[in-house]
Amino acid sequence: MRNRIMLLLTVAFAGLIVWNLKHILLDVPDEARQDAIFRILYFHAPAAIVGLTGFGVGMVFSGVYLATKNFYWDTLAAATTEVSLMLAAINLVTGSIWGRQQWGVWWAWDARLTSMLVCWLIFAGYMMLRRAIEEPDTRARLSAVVSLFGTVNAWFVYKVIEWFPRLQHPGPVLSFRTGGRIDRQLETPFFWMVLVYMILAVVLVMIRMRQESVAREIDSLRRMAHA
Amino acid sequence: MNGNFEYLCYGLVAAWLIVALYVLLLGMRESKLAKELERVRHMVEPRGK
Repeated sequence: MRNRIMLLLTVAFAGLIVWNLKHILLDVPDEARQDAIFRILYFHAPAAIVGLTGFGVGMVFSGVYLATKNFYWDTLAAATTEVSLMLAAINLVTGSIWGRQQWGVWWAWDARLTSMLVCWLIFAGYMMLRRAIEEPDTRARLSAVVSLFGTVNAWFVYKVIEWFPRLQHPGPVLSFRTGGRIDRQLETPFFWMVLVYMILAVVLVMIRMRQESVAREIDSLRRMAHA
Repeated sequence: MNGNFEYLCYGLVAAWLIVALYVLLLGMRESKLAKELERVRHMVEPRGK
């Protein structure tokens, strides 16, 4: 059943990405000031939205683990965070390429960029922490603390462009944050791209969970072998 | 090709390269786990018989 859902989601991902890439690259007109380069934002911002949301979802899963002490939730939190870290990396790298073309620099130490980098580093630390601690309960509890800390930072990343409007990073442009400053023709493929990244994230988390269940099976067989 | 479009290409390649690298990492992890599972099963099987 799980394999069938994964296959279905992968097909949906492939179909949607081809269809939406066609829109982004061929149908959407160039932006007046940025020309073609603005299309990077169709990858840069949706990766951030899904990645930052994923960090928050991972924190919720960690919270469920703390409440229930069921390791399934801790594993799910780790899988969600790992995939979100990959999406956050896409956000940072594509943003840097966009900045090089638009600002003439690969990086600017403004609050948005710096807080996103800090967020990425916190969750990279989360993954390293999980590798470093062998005792499952300690690992899960400390992971939950780091996840909470990182998610607070992720919320700061989201809000910082409202709190500090004079940043080098552009302010909010999507209509749900500004009340309609962006043309719908430009905005619709953006939301499709958010969906594409969400589907991708779900598939990758499912693959990670399958791997974790194999790892658990190996552990129990090892215990049997040594008993 | 103007410079602007060139950087768009860099961005698209980077975005998908990161996904591809992560999927490759998952694939490597999957095959390592499959081999390990096979090895541990062989360890256990003689005891089960």
